[in-house]
Amino acid sequence: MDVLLTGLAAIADPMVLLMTVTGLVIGIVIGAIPGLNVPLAVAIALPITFSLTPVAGLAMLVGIYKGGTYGGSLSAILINVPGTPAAVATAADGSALTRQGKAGKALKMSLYASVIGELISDLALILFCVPIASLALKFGPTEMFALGIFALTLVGVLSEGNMVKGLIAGTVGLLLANFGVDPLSGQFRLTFGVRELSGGWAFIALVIGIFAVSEALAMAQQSLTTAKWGGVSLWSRENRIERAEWRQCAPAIGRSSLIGVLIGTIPGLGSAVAAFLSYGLGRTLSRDPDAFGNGALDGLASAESGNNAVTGTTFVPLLTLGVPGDVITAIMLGAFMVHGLIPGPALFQQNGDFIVAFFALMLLATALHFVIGLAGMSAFIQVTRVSKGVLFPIILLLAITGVYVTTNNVFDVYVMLGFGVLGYFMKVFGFPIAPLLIGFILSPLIEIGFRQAMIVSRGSYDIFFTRPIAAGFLGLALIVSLAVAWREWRRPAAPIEREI
Amino acid sequence: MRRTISADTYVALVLLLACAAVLNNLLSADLSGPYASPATLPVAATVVLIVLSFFLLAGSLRRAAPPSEPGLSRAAKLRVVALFVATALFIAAMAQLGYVLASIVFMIAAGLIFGNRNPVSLLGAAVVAPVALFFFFEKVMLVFLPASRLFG
Repeated sequence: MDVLLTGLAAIADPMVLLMTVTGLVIGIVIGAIPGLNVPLAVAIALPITFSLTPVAGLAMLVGIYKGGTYGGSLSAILINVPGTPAAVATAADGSALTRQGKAGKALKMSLYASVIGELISDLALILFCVPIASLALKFGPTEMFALGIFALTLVGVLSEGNMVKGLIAGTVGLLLANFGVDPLSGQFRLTFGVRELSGGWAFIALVIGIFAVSEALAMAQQSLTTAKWGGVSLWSRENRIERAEWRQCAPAIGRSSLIGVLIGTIPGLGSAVAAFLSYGLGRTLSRDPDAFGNGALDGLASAESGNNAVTGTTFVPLLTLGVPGDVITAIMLGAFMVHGLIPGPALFQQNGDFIVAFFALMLLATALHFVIGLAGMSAFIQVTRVSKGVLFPIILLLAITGVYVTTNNVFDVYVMLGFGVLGYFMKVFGFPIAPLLIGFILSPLIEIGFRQAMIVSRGSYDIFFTRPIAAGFLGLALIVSLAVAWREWRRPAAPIEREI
Repeated sequence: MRRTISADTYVALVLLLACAAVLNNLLSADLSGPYASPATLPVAATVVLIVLSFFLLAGSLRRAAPPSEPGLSRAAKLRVVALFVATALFIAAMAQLGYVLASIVFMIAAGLIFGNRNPVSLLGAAVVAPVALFFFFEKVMLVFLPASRLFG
């Protein structure tokens, strides 16, 4: 009881409140700006937290993490440029809703789904921390490979109606991720003698190029105009979320939150995988799959709740095993260590009051996220009032600056421009972009998982069918593939591209 | 009737050429590893891509291309090319002119390409955005942006 009271008293400190709010505001702004990323913001804020109490310091970092994970959706919805890779799945339906004059509805659902996802994730962290950690330990390379293959079936799901082109985009994504140093053996591959390619294609350059730059190029081809997209009133009738829409989105939010909770516990996966898995599964189970990508509110809710449901359970491996699940928690590990807190089983025994305070802090940050998100929405929606002639040069400048400060390499900025041209031509020739991103994200997971599993099994493929979790995922992948193939078979043939 | 070649045909041919280059690079490299080499996945992906490219090619040849729609106007194509060139020049100029000066010139050029003819918003955005970003990164985030080589 003393531990509980001491822990709760720690977050009653006004400094904790202030730091959480500051972190959330910084996180939302950083997340919304294409090219800037949450790990960078967390790393810069880390030294500031050293002079604070452990809980106040972590409050700021948790705020940046939660705010940044959500912030990526704002630019995805309003200007079709995802601020973070995890917001890519949000961009399709979010930007379609904006074009339909329903930016307010999209922003609201994005916030609500994000906060619900976070809340479920926080509760999972608090109530099932230890059992979830033991589940995460069961994920070895074989299971990672099988999960990667299951997630790869999303390429097929998101390509329905345009299967060959979607599969081509997904395979190109898989291939692009294989440039540079092999992560297991250190051998160079596909560098074509170019020294700068030894590190592979920078992911940030790929995402920003293929979304922000290609969008700017596509906008430039439209007629000369300084027309605005049409200002949107946040509280107008068409931007209200109706009860029927809530009924449609609630199952998607619940399902995607559980996916996010599971993905969060497994080190190395991250919110982008959770968002794509949630979105793909949402489309597979939807009564109207063709609405996905054309402004489906449940599609947006799936992606956002899955994406944000990672933020709580990412701390499971960190707190229980001392293993950071991603770059952000790896940086946060530094904050724990500086304050003399060593994550692992001993943390629960020796610093019970801190654990209580940390759990309460997660809930506090989620509640404040809702308040700040609601207040900030009115400001962010003003973007729809800015003319394209002003907005797109700023987006391009932000994109170039963001890639430069992230990689500190001019070559990667040129790479971003190259991917922008690729994205532009993909749009022109009717190739979907999301499968390319999915292939790129999943490629290391699949390759490393496969090769490590082969080493463990001494070259036997039996390992993929004798381990229950791996076999389960591969079975699911087969079922989804057959379902997609069946639906595609029954679909009328799509028209081919016009002559050039 | 004149038989036209669809865009998909060209895309498939470009993909096949790219696959040939990738396969040549992978197969000529000395890549080895236990049970599965670093070339296993890229080679597999390339083979899949070749098969898919043939599907695309076959589909585009089997079906006649639809009648030509009114395509992009010459001015629209020029704007896209101009924006690409302006962006490439800006990236090259950052190190020579410095971030702020190069950004101001780029912002004006990009604004004009996007059709902004209002001098107040054109110049306002061109000055405010680069200066704000410069101070944000250099003073708040403590990340250095390219300085001018020409002006020291």
